[in-house]
Amino acid sequence: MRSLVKKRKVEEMNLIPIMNLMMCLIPFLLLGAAFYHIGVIPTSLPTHTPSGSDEPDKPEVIVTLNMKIEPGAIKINGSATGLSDDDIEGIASEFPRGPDGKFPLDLLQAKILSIKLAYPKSDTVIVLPDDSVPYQELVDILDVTRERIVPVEGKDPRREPLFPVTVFSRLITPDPDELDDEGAQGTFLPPPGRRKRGRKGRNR
Amino acid sequence: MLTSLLDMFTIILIFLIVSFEAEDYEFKLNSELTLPESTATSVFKPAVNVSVTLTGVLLREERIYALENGRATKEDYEKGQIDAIVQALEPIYLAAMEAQEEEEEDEDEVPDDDAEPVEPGDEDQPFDETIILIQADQTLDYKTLYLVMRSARVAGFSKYRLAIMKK
Repeated sequence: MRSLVKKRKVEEMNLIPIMNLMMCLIPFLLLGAAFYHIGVIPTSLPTHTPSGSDEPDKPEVIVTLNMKIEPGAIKINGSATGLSDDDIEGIASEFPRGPDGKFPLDLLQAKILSIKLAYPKSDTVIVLPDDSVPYQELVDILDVTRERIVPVEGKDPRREPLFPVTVFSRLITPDPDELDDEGAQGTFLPPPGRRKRGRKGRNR
Repeated sequence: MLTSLLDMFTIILIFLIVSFEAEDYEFKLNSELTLPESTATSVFKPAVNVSVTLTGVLLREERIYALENGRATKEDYEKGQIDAIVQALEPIYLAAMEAQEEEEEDEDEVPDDDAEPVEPGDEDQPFDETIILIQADQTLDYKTLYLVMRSARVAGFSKYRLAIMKK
């Protein structure tokens, strides 16, 4: 008598239902997938504020940086109440383009970091780019003035805010023939020697 | 036979789950421009969308002003504003301010004692029509960008968001 050895059939798993599930899920997820990530840079334009303030004088000096972006160089200076001439001179700096045609952004950030360490409450930078400055270059400069990214081993890089509040303005070079004493917001008034005689000055 | 196909689908599925975004910001990136890249990490919030390409200025995908290679007319530069942009944005700003005032009046009438105080910056604003979101081409020069921003300022907007591509 033969012993019948019942052969066990090895049944293969039916993959069709799971494939159906995949075919349903993947188009749905494709519709909602984000293949690029958009961020924003918050900014503002200068606004008119009344002169004088009822607020008491704050003991800590808050410096507002003015950053002129010219085609050949970036010039920074600061303004604040309570700053001495030496302090203002210490803040003023110029960063010309390098031989490769690019601005030395690492030096710019190092200077801004030193200003931030000296005046920790400062957070505003007024940016006055030249009309010909390309938008991408402007964004690259703002990246180094807004925050400092410090790589941390094994973790996400640490972000230290520098001057995150950005105010855009426009540098207008007045026509020497039409020069008067009236200043517009965002303009740098020419030195007194260039003003026409006989015209009365008007306070800004 | 289907095992390899299933492997492929599983990998694609995991990738799509990771990159899935549940929120629809109603933001459409204009195909005619390339956003500048930046390390900025500010949270994206939907706002009034203005696109500045090299060929024109669009408000919510509707062209309101034509540019020539990213430049406006000399008269507009001298004037310091683009009237078409001011006229297009002013009604939006006025409507947004009216809506905000009505909301504030409603809040004053029915104070919610159970509401927790909201920290500044944590407000849930699904769409803020008092903010302008500007998406501009990376090769645009600052003169034109400033002109657009100034025109929006004349229309009443004082808060701006510059859209960038995260690095």
